[in-house]
Order: sequence, then C-alpha cells, then structure tokens
Amino acid sequence: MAARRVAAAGCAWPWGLLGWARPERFLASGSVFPLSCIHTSTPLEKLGKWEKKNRIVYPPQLPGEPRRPAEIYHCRREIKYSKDKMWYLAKLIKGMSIDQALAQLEFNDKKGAKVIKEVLLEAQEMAVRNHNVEFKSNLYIAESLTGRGHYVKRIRYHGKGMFGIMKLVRCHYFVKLVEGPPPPPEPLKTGFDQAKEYVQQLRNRTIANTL
Amino acid sequence: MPSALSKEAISLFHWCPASAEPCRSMAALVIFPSPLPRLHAFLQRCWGRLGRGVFPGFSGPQSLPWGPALAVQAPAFFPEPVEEASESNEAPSFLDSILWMAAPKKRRTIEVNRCRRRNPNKLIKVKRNIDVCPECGHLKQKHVLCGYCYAKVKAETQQIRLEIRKKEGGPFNAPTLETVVLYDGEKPTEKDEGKRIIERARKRPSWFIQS
Repeated sequence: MAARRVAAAGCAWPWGLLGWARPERFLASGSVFPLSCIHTSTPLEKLGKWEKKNRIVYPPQLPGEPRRPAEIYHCRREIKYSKDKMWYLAKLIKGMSIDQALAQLEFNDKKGAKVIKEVLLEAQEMAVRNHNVEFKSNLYIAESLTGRGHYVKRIRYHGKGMFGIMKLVRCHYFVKLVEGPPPPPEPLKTGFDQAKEYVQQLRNRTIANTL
Repeated sequence: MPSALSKEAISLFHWCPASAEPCRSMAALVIFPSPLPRLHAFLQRCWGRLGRGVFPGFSGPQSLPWGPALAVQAPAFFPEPVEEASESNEAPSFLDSILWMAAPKKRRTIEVNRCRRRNPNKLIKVKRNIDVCPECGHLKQKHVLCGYCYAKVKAETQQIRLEIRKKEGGPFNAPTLETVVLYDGEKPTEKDEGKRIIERARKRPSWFIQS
C-alpha cells in the first residue's frame, strides 16, 4: 500500500483521489468486490465550523429537565454579494419567526433577499426532515450572520488608458433556527435606566484594604 | 535700479579705507550713470528670468512693467510684456484649483463608520402591509395584485393570444369584431352572434367567468 502510494505520488493526481482503490485490484480476482469499499470522492470541500455545528449530539435528557429546543444550523458559502449589503437583510430578520422572515424577504427588492429566502426554506426543510421538528412554522431565527468570502481582483478600464483595480466581492450567510415561538423583543434601555445603573456602579465602589 | 544702486553702493561701502568704522555717509553717494552696456544687458536678462516664471509664487504684474532707470536714451520696458502677463495669469489659476480641492482631513474610524452604517434610518424597515391572498393563499402586498394570481392569468392570456395569432395568420388581420373565448364543451349562445370565437382546448378555469 505504501509502495503504491509512493508510485502514485509520481503519477497524475486522479490516482491520489481514488485512494487505495485501483482497477487492477478488481480485475485481478474473478469475483465482484462490494462497492462500498471504494472512496470515489474525498472531502475536497472542507467542512466549515458552522456546518459541523449540526453534528453535535447531546446526552439524553433526564426526566425532570425542561425540553431542549431543536437547533438547526445552515449556511450558504460564496454568494456573489457584498457582506455589508447582506448584513442589512440579516439584521432585518434577526429574532423574527420564520414565516414573518419569509414574508419580509419576499417583498424586499434586494438581490440578497432572494438568496436568504432560499437558505431559510432549505433550513426549514432540513429541520422537518432530519432534526425532528414537528411544525415547520414553529421555528424562529435565533442568529443570522454574514461573513466575508473570497475576493478576486480584476481590472476596471477607464478612459485615456487609465485603469483601476476592482474587487469582486463574495459573502457567506449563516442562520440558526430554533424551535419554539420567537422570544419577545427586549425593551429599549431608557436614559433613566442607564442613569440608575451608573449610580449603582458608583455606589458599589469600595476602598481596598480597609474595614 | 535697486540692484544697480546696491551693487555700486556696496562696492564703495567696503572700499572706504580711510576710517575703520563703516562709513555710512558713503551710502548717500552720487548715483552712477548706467555704466556699461554689458551690465545693462545682464540686468535685462535678470529681469527677464524673473518675469518668465523662475519664481512662480511671485505676483508678477506689479514689479514688471517698469525696468531699471537709464540715463541713456533707451526704452525703459522690455519687449515682451504681453507673454509674461499671459503666463502669470495662467499659473496662479492652475495652482489655485489644486489648493482649494476638498479632501478628508482624518481617517474615519470604524466606530464612526459603524454609527453611520447602523443608524436606524439606514436599516431596512419592517413592512406592515403584507396580507394573504384570499384566492390562492400566497402572500401579497395590500396595494399590489397578488403575484401568483397575476402570473396564472398572464399564462392563460398568452395561450389565448397564441390561438388568436393562429387564426389570424399574420399581422394587420384583426377583424373589427368582439372576441369570445370558449373552452371545452361550450357552445356559442345568441349573445355571441356577431363575435369572433376563439377555441381553447381545456377546461374553463374557475376564475374566468363566462358572461
């Protein structure tokens, strides 16, 4: 196996992809090998952290514990849109129920709205199919984030032989759906509350190394 | 005149051997007549260089029009006043336009940028005018036709227009009659006497009421 691998290193890269399976193995013996032993595709796309969050398995809950709500993590990578523009849409749907979020995105004219709507529908489908969610409407958006994707530099031609270098931007979009009704929005902090907190902080001060 | 005077005065100044202290009385000496034509030509060239823009910061026009005073009968001004004036008019305007351009004084910090980008007037507003269409159940805005219903009517209209095109067979063949659309199993009534009849090979859609 090691010798074969060393020989393969000198050859073209497809051999490396197929791993340890080689056609001569099948042809050598007369019987048909079970195909489950072939790795036909290696994990070329490295799983990101967000995708791995769906794989965590909690220990079974004890009888008295409150039910842990289901959490579904979904994302889309390398969307051809700006992360700053996408952020406004992510901020819009943060904390909404999934139905309300879909309604808002349907009547929004931005390019990212269509993409996020597709992502939400995919996540909803995943939730019902794989994550044991009973009602597809009983979900709310706990987290919705954007990230920067790979940027590519290109030349932008101006007049008089001048040129500029432009960036083709891409972004990622991440969403976490949680089962249950959406939590009520936090009341905004008034100036009075902030003043009370400040006064309390002043009152909590003590002098060190004294009685 | 000043340079000529100062030169001669200085040479006399340093040259008074009689007393040790500087003889200031010598400064008020007789003015030499413009001495040699060589010196006069040198002075002329100096003035010329000055005017032509060796010192571009100069506001030229005030100092130029008059030349050194000469005892000899000769023109006191130089033969090229026009070009100098035009040159001196050009240079300040070019420099002025560069000096008065608006430019940012300091880099905008990320905190300032965030305050501007996340200001509530820049965030997307939540739409409160979304309802459910009573016909199809899809979402619609209150003041806008339902997108789904509009699309289905548009599709059916396109099919009817196809039939009309087949019947007419070319442009400019539209008869000056009304049109009636009949679906499967419908007969023209007495009301449809003088009208052109278009057949559609399908069941009548529920939303297309037969008049």
